[in-house]
Amino acid sequence: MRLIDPLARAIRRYWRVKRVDLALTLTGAIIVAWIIAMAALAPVVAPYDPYVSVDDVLLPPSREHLMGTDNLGRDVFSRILYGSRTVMAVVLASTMLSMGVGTLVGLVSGYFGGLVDRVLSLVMDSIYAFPGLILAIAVAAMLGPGVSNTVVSISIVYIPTYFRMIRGQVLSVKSQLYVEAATALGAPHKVIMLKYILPNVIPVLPVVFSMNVADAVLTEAGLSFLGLGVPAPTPDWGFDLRNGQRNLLAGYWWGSTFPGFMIVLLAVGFSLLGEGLNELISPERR
Amino acid sequence: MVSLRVYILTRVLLTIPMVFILLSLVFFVMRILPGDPVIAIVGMKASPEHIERLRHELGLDKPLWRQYIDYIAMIMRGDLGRSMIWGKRPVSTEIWDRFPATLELTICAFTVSVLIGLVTGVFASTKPGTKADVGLRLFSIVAYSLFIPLLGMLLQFTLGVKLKLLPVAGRKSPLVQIDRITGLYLLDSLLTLNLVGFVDALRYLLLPSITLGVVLSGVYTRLVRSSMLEVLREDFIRALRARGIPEGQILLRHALKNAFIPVLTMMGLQFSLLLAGAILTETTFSWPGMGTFLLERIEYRDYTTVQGTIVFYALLVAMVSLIVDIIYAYIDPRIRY
Amino acid sequence: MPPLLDVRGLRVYYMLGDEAVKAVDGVSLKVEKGEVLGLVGESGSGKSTLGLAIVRLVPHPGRILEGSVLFKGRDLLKLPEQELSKVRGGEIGMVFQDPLTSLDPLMRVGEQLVETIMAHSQLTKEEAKEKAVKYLELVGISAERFYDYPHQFSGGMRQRAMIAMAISTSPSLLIADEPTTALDVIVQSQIMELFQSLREKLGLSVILITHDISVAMEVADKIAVMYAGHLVECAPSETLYDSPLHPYTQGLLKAVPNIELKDMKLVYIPGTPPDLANPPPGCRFHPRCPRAMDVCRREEPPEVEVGETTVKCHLYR
Repeated sequence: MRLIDPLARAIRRYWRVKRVDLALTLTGAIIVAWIIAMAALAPVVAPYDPYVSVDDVLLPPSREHLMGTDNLGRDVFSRILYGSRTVMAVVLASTMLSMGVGTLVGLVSGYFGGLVDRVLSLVMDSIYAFPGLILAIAVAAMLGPGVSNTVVSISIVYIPTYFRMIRGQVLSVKSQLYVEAATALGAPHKVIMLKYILPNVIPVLPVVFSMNVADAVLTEAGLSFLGLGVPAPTPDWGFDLRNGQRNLLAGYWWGSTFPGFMIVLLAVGFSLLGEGLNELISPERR
Repeated sequence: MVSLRVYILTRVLLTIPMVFILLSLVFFVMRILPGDPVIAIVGMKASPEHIERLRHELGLDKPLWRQYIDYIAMIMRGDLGRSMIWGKRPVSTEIWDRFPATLELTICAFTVSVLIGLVTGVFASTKPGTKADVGLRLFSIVAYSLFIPLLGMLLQFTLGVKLKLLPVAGRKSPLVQIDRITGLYLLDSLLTLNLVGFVDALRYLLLPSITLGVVLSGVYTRLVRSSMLEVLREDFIRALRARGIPEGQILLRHALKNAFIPVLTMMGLQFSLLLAGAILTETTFSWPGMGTFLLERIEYRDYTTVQGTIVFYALLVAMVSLIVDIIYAYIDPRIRY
Repeated sequence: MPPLLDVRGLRVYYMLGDEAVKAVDGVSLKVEKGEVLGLVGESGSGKSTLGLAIVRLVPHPGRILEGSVLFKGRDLLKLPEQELSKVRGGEIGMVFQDPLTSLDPLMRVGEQLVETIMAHSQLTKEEAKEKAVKYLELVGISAERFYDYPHQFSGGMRQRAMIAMAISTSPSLLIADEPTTALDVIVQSQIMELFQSLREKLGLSVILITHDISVAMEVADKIAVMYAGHLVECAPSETLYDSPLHPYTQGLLKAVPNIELKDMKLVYIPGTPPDLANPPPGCRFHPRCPRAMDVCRREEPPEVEVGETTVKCHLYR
């Protein structure tokens, strides 16, 4: 009883203080999980082939076509289901790439310090200051169309985010006693970085990841809306939104609205998840 | 006043490496990343002679370091290069045609977002932890995640197509004449006392500015709220209360002014968000600004213009962050004196 | 004649989750017109909270649970917020510990003074400015510093400016919470002298809150000692100095370095103040008290009057 009482009290207090954050995290997690499930089950659930015309063009939502058909007679609902695969794949691949590169460069920069660190920091700060979407547009335009090119264009935008976080973390870990001891004992740089420093900076990654993945969703959607993302006819929410806009002014709202809502839903889901997690993990109370 | 001059000089000097790195970054993206820009321009199937001629024309046959020096030297002269199509006009002239539209849009959107952000942020900070506060926190998350084209289209569809209240595309009616002075239609029509032009330009400006403004307002809600909470905890606020200064006056005249300084220092970065958002807004509303210009030229593979435009964006970002720093110095007496 | 300020049975708790930190727990206190009261206690004894509670400025999550604060016959705890803000900074002036952070850094010092004066009078801006300059000069700041910003002032000057603001509305009571703690020694004595002279010139009553009983001894007519949320002893300064009754006060006085004594050894009170979320039962001082008896562990001591002294201790029942 002695042990359980304070524990129960701690949980109750935690719940009272963090109730809102827990609710946000949970809501975000449910949205994201739902869209991931959509992506995974798309071939099973989708009623039609998303690539081909299956009916008349621009049919309004009905029992046969839950979200209507687009200007080429393709089923909007099926395209949305398959579109979640494109978005998820591109966004996850590009954030992973940013994470890998950002972590590596941040580790090296923070560990070695000196001129290398100063130059790398300046470069990263400059990229960070530059409008993300415009940078992605420039890179995408130069690299040309293709899924992997889109992934690279988006990932460049987010490298500085990881770099800054990891570098800061490395700087604080570097001065810890056990790292200094390892250095004094003459352990090689590679060993110190990978064995002593890396494990201590990795815990910040999930928070940074969850915070910028929402932004990456919007950048992906933006690129594909502007025609610089994954090439047509691959189902992609941003591109489909743009495609539907042409007919919007004539009153055919369903072709653009549904993909648009999905983009917002996914971005909100990731944002809630990231924001909630960040608040739950961060030690200081709001 | 000596220290202010020193401060500004330091800021200007600190901007130089940033500009330099941004320019190098653009060079890197334009020359090194794609492998061969000429192939990117003309495609794989062009004849070798054609490729060779173009390569020479663009100076791409020189060694890379030489290209880099030429490139930096050209920008130092204030030259952004010449377009590869349509009479080979200087890129700077073309940008001069399109930039005012973007400037007008971003200024208006900025005003909308700061206004919304100030009102909601101050309100949330006076009631931390309440339902209203949580609601506004949710608003800021959702607002930022609102995909600009979607919000734009919903407004186009409801206010434009269904209710026919506002125009959905372009900058002004084709028949309305606005003489160009600055290129900012609102300002130009006022300067020429052209009331019809002013109202027309305003009607066209409304939907794009609201779209972009609302999406970015969430960021300000959050910034203002946390900054206000910080200031409200400070001793001088308690001291003001102890002197019996009315609460409204404490909030607006003292707390908000102090809370605004950290918000201001973030505005350089916010400006980047504004520029990026402007590209999506311009595309959604067929707004003839820098964003639509850049995309047009990407489509035409006008390599030099694309490079010049990106360089212009880089210079703009560096300049705005410098301006923000200088404004900050003027507002905060601790730096001014 | 009723006292200027009469605090009765004041209880202020800070609500932290399930716990209540009992910062001020049933304190009664009187301040006569023209009197200087020294409110003495260690940090965390509740003396600052008491000072703030008098004008209802206890910060979140503090709550005033019961008691009354009669000021000129009106209960400040029952006054509507609007009338209270006229009393705050009007009839009751306050000076806080840290002058570095107690001024708005973005507003000129003179303007902050003008703002205070205008909030409590019908004066025009020009008249208020004239009055502001007069008060700056009264506290020893020349008129040309009117347009300076707080960061251009030294610590001592800022505290002088705070004092000018506090007295510019002709208050009848000044609450000064550790007004000299953040300043260096020479400036400290200058500020204390300023207090003395102002008190004589303006006939103010002052509550001087301090952790340093020797500072209180110098200027106060009467001294109230707080320990762990309770007022343990209250007596005229000389009486308290000559014959302290409460063991805690005795301990405090022994801890004061006294130049007259040949033996310069300082005596500290062993132990630490209790956790106010779970204070010890009975007398809150008993765990540290050299003269603790059985009853001290069980019963909260009553307030006993011994001559001019009021003491909260079982020894004097």
